[in-house]
Amino acid sequence: MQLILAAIDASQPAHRAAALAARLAAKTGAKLLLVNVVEPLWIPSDRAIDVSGLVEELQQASRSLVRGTAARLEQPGLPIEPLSLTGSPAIAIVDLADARGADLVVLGSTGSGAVARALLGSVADRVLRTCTRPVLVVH
Amino acid sequence: MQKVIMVGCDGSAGAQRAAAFASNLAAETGARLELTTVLPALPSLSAPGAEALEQSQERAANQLLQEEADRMRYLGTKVECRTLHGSPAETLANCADQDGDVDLLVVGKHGQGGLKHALAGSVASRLAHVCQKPVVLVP
Repeated sequence: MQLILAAIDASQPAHRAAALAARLAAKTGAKLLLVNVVEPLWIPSDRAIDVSGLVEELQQASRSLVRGTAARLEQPGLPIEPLSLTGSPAIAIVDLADARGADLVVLGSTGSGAVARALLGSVADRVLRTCTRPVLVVH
Repeated sequence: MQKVIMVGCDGSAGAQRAAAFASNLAAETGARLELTTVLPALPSLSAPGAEALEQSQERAANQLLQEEADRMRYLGTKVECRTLHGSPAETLANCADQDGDVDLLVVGKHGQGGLKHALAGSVASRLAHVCQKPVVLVP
């Protein structure tokens, strides 16, 4: 395996997914691409609000999440690339996997939202349905 | 990834791609493969032939697994086979969950026969949901 893409957010399943992805990458000699996607803010068009500060704050939080996770998973011989993107998460993850030719996409089953565990999170579900590469789901 | 990678087999092209993915991963990680197929339970019938049918299904399933296993052993992977009975998705998931050595369950996204029926709709999200172990869905 050459490249494992782990898509993460701040949730526990994502945390476990990143750890498993790092173990797999270390074992197989693959590079680990750690990505978090920031969803664009929805701004009602009738309001003139300056949200540039908010956007910057979200992007900053995303960058520290991927960098912090990369630092935690760091080990000799395991190349890790932290990456923060903005867009619709499932689409951005699938597009990135294709653009980089990822051999495996790893992600947590549910996001950080407090949705019941009865279902897969909407991002995991959409990635599973649309990704044409092997996808590993971690609870 | 030191121990066992379980693969769901049903003879479909998707399951074969899953087996190939798992076989590569096993070669890279030194894991053992466990090829598993699930025979859906027959309705309980008393007419003659029921037992013969069951035995014939079992033989066909075992043969399918053995052929796949032989291909993999040829490539140097350690492989074991297992035939289970029951509702395919739940049986596979339970088996993976209860076997402490299983690190990962690998299945094809689109199966056939029993798997297809059991997992109609969203194969991916259902199995990924019922299994507590990490699940790889191979397209």
